[in-house]
Amino acid sequence: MSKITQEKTKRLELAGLNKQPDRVPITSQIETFAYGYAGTTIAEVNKNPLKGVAAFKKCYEDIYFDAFFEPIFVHPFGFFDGLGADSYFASDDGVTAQHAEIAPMNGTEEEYKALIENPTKFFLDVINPRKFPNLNGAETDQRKAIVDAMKGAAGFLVGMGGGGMGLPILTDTPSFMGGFIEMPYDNLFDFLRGFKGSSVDMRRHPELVLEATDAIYETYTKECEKIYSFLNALSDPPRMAKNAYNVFIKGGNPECTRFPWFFNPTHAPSFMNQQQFEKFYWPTYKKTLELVTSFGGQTCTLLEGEWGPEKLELFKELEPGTVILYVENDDICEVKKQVGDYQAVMGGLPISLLKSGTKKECIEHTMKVFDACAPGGGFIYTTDKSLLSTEDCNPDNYKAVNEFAHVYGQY
Amino acid sequence: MEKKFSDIIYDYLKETLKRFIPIFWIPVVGDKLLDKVMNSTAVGFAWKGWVMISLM
Repeated sequence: MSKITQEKTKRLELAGLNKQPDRVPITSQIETFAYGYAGTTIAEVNKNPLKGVAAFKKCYEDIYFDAFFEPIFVHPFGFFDGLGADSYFASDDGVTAQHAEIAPMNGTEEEYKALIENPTKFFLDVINPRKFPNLNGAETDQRKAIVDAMKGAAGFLVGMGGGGMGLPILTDTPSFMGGFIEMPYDNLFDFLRGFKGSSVDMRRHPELVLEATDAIYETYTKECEKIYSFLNALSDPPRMAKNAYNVFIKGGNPECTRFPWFFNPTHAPSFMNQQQFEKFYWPTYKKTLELVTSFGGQTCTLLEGEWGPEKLELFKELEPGTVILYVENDDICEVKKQVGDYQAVMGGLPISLLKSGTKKECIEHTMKVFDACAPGGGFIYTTDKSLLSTEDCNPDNYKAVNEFAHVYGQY
Repeated sequence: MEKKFSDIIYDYLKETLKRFIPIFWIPVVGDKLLDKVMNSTAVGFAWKGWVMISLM
């Protein structure tokens, strides 16, 4: 690891722990915007994942960052194509990634009971065939679909692995994403019942919803986080070997480091009232965040939409420095005031301003946010939303803002 | 009876391991070893990896 990468890593680690580093760290939240910026498309990257890595490299070289989000777009299109699914697709511009809402589970008591009894088996035997057309034919066709999906996944892994290991070396910038978490209720909301179905289920059979989220946490989330904790050590071979021994031989838990963080986009909370949030979402959310802490890791949780002060107040229940609160539509200065003594905050730069504002307006906004959020540390600057389309921001504004922030953010 | 997808993918994985790793070709011992591997944490991780991605 180069000296510059070490310095950046230290900056991120300290800020994430709600401490004061040498300067305010700046991270990227760039997704498929990188493809358009570098003149490639999702289809081209699917054929040659290294084109995706090159596109992200160009962004991280042209715009200043202390850490980047991803080395290549995180959704493996090739895997889904192999199974005949259209969950993820490119917009007409060929660059903007989109995903359709798919709700393959019906809300009957029988389905909920099957999910509660064995989530993994339910996902494989009930949800997979409903979601993927190529898993509905004869066994030989299903085997072919498995092979096609694995080929798609392999291409994606080449991009993820190559970019994950190569980009920090090529750009002197670490990735801040060391794992991923989908919260138990969000599994139900995003992938099984959808917006409408899960809203109905909370009212129609609340007890089954609670049992389902508990079952997902106990038998699925815990295992997933073990896998991510294991993978978190990929760049550290001695720790990887220790984890392999602990997990595969002793049957214990892996150890991970505070940085890079586990990234968690939350989806349902901004659509829930306080009572629903505290009943259905918070219990397994809190347990999952504490689980990651117990492995030695830290979670960067994206508070999608607007949460409001009542929900944010609950983060005071967690051990200080457990999470980084990545703010989307709430006022980051108010969030910092409310929970800044407990947890670090991240965000502050609206992409709408980067797109439509002048350089002067973007820089004035940055000064205002830094003056309110930077004192004492525990603050990480980034865009309030992911950049997906080439139209999402004016790159000249983005370059100017990050160059300014890097200097102005010195403590 | 129609095979469930979890059985199809389990059998596929088992056959693939047997095809490419010579130690599993040894009569009796190879099969026992393969069963042990199929029930190991490492293969469990592979299952969960599939489920995690396919659920997205």
